Amino acid sequence: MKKTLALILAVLFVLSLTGCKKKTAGSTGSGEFIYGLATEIDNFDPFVATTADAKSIYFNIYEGLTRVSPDGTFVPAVASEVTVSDDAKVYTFKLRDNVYFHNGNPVTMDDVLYSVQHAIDSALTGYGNIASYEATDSKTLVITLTNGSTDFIANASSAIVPKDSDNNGEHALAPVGTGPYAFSEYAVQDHVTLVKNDKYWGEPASLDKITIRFIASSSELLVNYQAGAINGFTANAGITEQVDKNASVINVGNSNAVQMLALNNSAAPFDNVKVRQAVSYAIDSDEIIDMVNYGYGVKIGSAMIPGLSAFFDDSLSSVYDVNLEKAKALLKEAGYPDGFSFTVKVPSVYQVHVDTAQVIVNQLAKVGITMKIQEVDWPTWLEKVYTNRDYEATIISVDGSIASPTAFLARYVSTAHNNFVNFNSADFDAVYAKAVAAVDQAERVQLFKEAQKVISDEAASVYIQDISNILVYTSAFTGFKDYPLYAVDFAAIARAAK
Amino acid sequence: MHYLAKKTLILFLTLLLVSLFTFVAFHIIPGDPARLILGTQATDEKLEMLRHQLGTDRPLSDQYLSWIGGFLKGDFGTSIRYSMPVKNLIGERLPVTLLLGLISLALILLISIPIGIFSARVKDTFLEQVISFFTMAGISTPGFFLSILFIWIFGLILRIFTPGQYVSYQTDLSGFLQFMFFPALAIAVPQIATLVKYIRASMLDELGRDYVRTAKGKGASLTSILYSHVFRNAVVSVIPLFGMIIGSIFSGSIIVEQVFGVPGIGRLLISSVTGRDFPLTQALVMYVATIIVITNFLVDILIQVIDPRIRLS
Repeated sequence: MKKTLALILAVLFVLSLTGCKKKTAGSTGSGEFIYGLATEIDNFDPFVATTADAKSIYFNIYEGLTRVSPDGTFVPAVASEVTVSDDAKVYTFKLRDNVYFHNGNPVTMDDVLYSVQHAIDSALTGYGNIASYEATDSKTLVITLTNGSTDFIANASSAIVPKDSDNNGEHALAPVGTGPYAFSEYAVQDHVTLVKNDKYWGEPASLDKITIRFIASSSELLVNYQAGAINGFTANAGITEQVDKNASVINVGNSNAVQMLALNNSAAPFDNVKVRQAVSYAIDSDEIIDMVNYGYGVKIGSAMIPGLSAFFDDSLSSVYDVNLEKAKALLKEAGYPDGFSFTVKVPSVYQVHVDTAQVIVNQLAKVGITMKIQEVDWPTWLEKVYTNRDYEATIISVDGSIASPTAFLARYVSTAHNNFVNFNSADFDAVYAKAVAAVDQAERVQLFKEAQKVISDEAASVYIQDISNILVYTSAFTGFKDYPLYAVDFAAIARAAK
Repeated sequence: MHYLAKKTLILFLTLLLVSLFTFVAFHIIPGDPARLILGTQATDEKLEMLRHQLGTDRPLSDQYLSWIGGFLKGDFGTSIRYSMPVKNLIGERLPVTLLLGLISLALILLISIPIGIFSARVKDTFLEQVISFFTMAGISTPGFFLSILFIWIFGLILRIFTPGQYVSYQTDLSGFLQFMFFPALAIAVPQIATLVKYIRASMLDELGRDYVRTAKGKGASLTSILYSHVFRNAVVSVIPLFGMIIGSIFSGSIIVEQVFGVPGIGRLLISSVTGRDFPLTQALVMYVATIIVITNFLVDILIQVIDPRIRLS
């Protein structure tokens, strides 16, 4: 008995040693791109999983009647033509011919009607505004809205799926769409594989296969990349210094999220506009961008991303340039001549926000404000801070569900369910309502800019930057595109010419 | 027999308490799985819908009772995060972690026993200093740091294995062992160091006893005394340690799997907690608790088998 055990152990040991032969790293089949992701995608249902990373992947699998293009405009996809009435209340979609699902079936009006109803049932953004929808013939869908909204063209990018395809929650693990890549295989915590959709109606994908590997943490991404286990990944600014620049392409784009020191406008002392302004004057966004992000960030001054260039008001970025005297004066007026102290609750999963907090501590100390950092885990942050609004200040990047100004500004309406900073301004509510109702593009732009200005004047929070999204990939590939929302467009990726 | 029955009862009671504590702890910490799935775009309407679908809107007592009812019937429920039966998720990973644990255990035994005996033999020499330096270093180096060090040295510099490129034991056994050797070693090193220290101490303790003097007086060689008399007696005092070592192998594998990217139970446990995936966490905790409780149970019995002088009651 003792001998057998010893023998088994010895064999195991020897086996594990003889296994140590040298192997070439990074052997990837031609036409495959392996993308490393530090977060896990665990649900592929486009009607449920609305986290940014999930969306960035199923962007490749699903398409809506419309889809976003790299310049931020929405173009027809499953529909071939979209007509919008002058009051933006009636949307008429003509279905495109020869669009096929990944299961081989053609897209019919039944599928589209099912998808629209499923989106309404799932309470997707914008679908609550639908008064009625009907198929006037087998190729024409007319959607009538309760309130006119030019945003619906963006809302209509939600997935078109086969009729009855989610009666038992099948979407979560077996997504079927019309996109350039079809879902092929999913191994929990390990990878998801997408294969090229040969029947794609548009420009077909260049690579046959995309593998998205889930890597436990962002520092492991670099190791995996150096070892050749992945071909590309989204990196922290600090990591770009460590990759071999001769063999890599570093693509810097926007993350399309607003990084802010969110101040709870209902909690003293931040219920006082002067205190919020004082804090804004004391914080140096440029220093944060340099120290935390190695310069990879775009300074902002209100709750709008630079990516939505038509609506972004760059002049607001310098309104609160550092001015310690002004900050001190404002604090005195507000009744805090000696400063005060507060706690910032930072979600610990985001190293960048934790680092930002550390820089801000020193900046605020210069005007006598003491900031204490409390790190909380993500589930706690979502519940305590974001939902229950039980906090004084927090640091977070806020992304938008669609590439539209409403996705970033709607939360500042005093009654909005996601107004987690408790911003309350009658001026804002009025100008925002006007902006949403506006159909004329120039007027709309003007009103959304005014809305941003109110947020800036009232210093609803401290707006810091749009942190750059840094994509690192081996120079064997080319064709990456940036979008004004979270998306990794695998169809555009190709092997680089030798 | 009476002793065995009592021990078995305690074993089940312990597991029941573990499940209850896990359940309570899990519901005290903040975090809502439905909200995690929906993220910051959640609306009250969608949350309510999803909570109902997941069954997390039911009263807590209901949730616990239905969980334990299912568990006793062998039904571990469906993972909230992965929308798959918990059984399948664990089933796929269990062999990976068990093999990792087995390789670690093999390394621990194969390395620590000879070194432990050897260090007792070279008492008061320079070699003993060297061994004691390495055991101190081994005990004080945390597993995650060793993992990073191994990945750097063996993966990136020497290129003996590809970091992050886990090879399944089903497709390529030698590739699997080649990859698993390093995480197994990272788990083993602190345990080896601990065990060497213990073996050495109990060997020296035994060496000072009268029977050794008698054996020496009879003219037996040091080697034969060490292996046929001292080691057998010394091992009895080391065996209780094995309950602890098995526990450490599993707790060590949680971190090490994460760093090496091994798709085992450890990684699953971490993501089930961060995803507030109750059915999955509970099943995993039960699994780890069962292994540790049973190991300790077996160790208690084993000690009596090896040394008939010990009678526990």
